[in-house]
Amino acid sequence: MAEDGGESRDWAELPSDALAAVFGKLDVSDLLAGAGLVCRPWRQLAATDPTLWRRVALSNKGNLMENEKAEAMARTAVDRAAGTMEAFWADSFVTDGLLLYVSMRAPSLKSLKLSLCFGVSNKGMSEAMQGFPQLEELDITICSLYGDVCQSIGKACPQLKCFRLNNAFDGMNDDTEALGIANNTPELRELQLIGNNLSNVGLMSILDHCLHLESVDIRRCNNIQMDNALISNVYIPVSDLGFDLFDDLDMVTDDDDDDDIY
Amino acid sequence: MAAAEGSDGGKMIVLISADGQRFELPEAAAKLSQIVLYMIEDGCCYPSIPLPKVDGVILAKIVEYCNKHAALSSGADGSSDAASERSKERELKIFDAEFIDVDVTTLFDVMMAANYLNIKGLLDLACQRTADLIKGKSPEQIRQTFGIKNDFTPEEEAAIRKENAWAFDNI
Repeated sequence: MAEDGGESRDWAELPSDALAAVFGKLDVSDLLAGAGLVCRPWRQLAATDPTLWRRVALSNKGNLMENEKAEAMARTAVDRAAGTMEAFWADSFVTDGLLLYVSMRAPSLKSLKLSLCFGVSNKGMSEAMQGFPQLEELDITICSLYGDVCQSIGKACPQLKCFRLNNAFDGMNDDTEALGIANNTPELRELQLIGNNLSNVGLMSILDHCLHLESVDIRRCNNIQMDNALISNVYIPVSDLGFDLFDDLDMVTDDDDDDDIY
Repeated sequence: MAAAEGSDGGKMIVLISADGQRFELPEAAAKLSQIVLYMIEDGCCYPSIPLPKVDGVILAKIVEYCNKHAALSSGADGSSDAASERSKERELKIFDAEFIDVDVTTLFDVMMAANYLNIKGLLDLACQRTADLIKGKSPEQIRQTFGIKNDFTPEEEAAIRKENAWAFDNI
């Protein structure tokens, strides 16, 4: 080290604003399990600068063995954010217990994204949402959350602007979710309900009540019938109809060029 | 006294490094440094601006960065169509990637100089490169990369391992 003059460059003593800028570019797991444990000054900054923990994104990387580790990291990140956390994005390791832990300590949360979280129940979700009065974006993708939970979410989060509830397997076979959204989320701008079982009645109710809506994604909502009442109410960009529609139709093109393919 | 003019008629600024080297660059390039910009605005930039905290080797690199970015900044050559903007952006991206692909000693000096001179884009580039060198590494691997001493006492080390048991199970 001494030969290349590296001794005078003490990375441990980097000015804290420069180090904070570096740390700000790391994800939570690198901060917690790597950079934050290197030396005293780095550990000090990671442990005491809440701004580093405003946006927390964590994954167990598809490995169930990592669930416990991911949950411990999430709890530490929530503690270090000291009430300033604005975004919490996580996947299958999340449980009711963890969500409630976040709920009690992140009153400024604006964005929550959960995917593949089968450990979160409707009851746990409804309870946790009470702690997020400032939530503006909620993304629930392939979880087991459905039914009245939409009403609870709307009531607890009056500022919700973007809501995505994309189910793969579960869901009511009626308009419970649609009506919960229609009656409780007046500020909604963007709604995504891929694979929902809502009917035309539910969709019309959403369109009648959520007056600020700019986009509604209802791909794979097979109970929706495109009738005149709906068509006069919605503008559907061609790209939104795209793949799913063409998947169902056996498309045959007239192009001469295609002949030699067959 | 009249300011020096560059070949394109624009004003030129002279920076002097800690070891006395002179660097002449267009005012538009020099102004990428917030600190130099203030000195120009205050009229204290003639005949030259001394930068006692930056040595010549690093200042040469900084000047190279500023010249490139000023020359390719949007609207610098009067063209404004989207295609030429995109190609300039691409060229800058390639330049930045090569510019910052340096050993950690140079990286440290560039970061400190960018911090002192307050050149936002360059500081951001150096911080991103540092973060990229940290990503995916264990604390010990990070210490090796940057030549940092483990200054924890055995007691602190034990406490850290206990508090962060999940961080050490793969190491």
